[in-house]
Amino acid sequence: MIILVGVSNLQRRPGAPVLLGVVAGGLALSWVACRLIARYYREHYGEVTPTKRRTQRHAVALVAWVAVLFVGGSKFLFWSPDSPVCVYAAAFALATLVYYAILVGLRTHHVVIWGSLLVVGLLPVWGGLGLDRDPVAMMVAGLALMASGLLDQRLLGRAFGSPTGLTLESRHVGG
Amino acid sequence: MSEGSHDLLLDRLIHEPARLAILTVLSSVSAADFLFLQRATGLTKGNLSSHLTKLEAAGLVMIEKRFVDKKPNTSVALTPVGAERIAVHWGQLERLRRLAGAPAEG
Repeated sequence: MIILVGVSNLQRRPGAPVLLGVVAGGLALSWVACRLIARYYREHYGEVTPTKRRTQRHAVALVAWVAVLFVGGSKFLFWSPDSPVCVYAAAFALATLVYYAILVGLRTHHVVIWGSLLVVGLLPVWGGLGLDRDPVAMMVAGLALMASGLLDQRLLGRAFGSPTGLTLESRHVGG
Repeated sequence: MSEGSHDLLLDRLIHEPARLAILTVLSSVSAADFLFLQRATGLTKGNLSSHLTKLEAAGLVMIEKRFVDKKPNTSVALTPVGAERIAVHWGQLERLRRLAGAPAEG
């Protein structure tokens, strides 16, 4: 979704019909992917209902993510179209680091991926992109999110063992 | 046996490793389905089922059998008594650990 938002905000984006197709196709693909991923986890790892405390913690993490990205990023950092740094990328990385720190505690791959984006966002290398700077940053953030998610899954797999060991039949016991 | 050692008696129903694992997992969530418990504890289906039956009979867990997406699903949650008993049990283990680390009285 973040990658799609980035593509649709590019200055040199494709024409309206193509863009509409890309966005509609991308949205449909995201929806199908979300359903398939949710089903995969349900069928291979089971389901839990989190405690109230856990739900509250998730809400706090989300609020912190929004606050760091949209409030902190725009209020306290220099956010200009001519800036050679990319505040959006840095703020997104910082917000995501804060989100993970509150929700689950930072893992090595979180620090590496989001720390790298934070540093890259603050490097003065974004000047040449002009108005495409933030959309490009969104696409990079989207890719970083995918990489982070894949490594989260790897960690889960290590903690719970191979997902192929148990089948759907294991979801229920008795008659 | 002194009064102090009575205080440190462990609840045998809960202290059994598989049941301790089940109750500890359940104490970190509101409810979990059978597959999640199997994943988290590493128990076989039969073993987990047998332990859950004992825990349900003791009133420590509630088992709800339902259908999710037209498929049978077993959801398990701690009862208030179960939540209290596992918390007390971990407290006992913690006290034992502290005592084991404390210098012996002369």
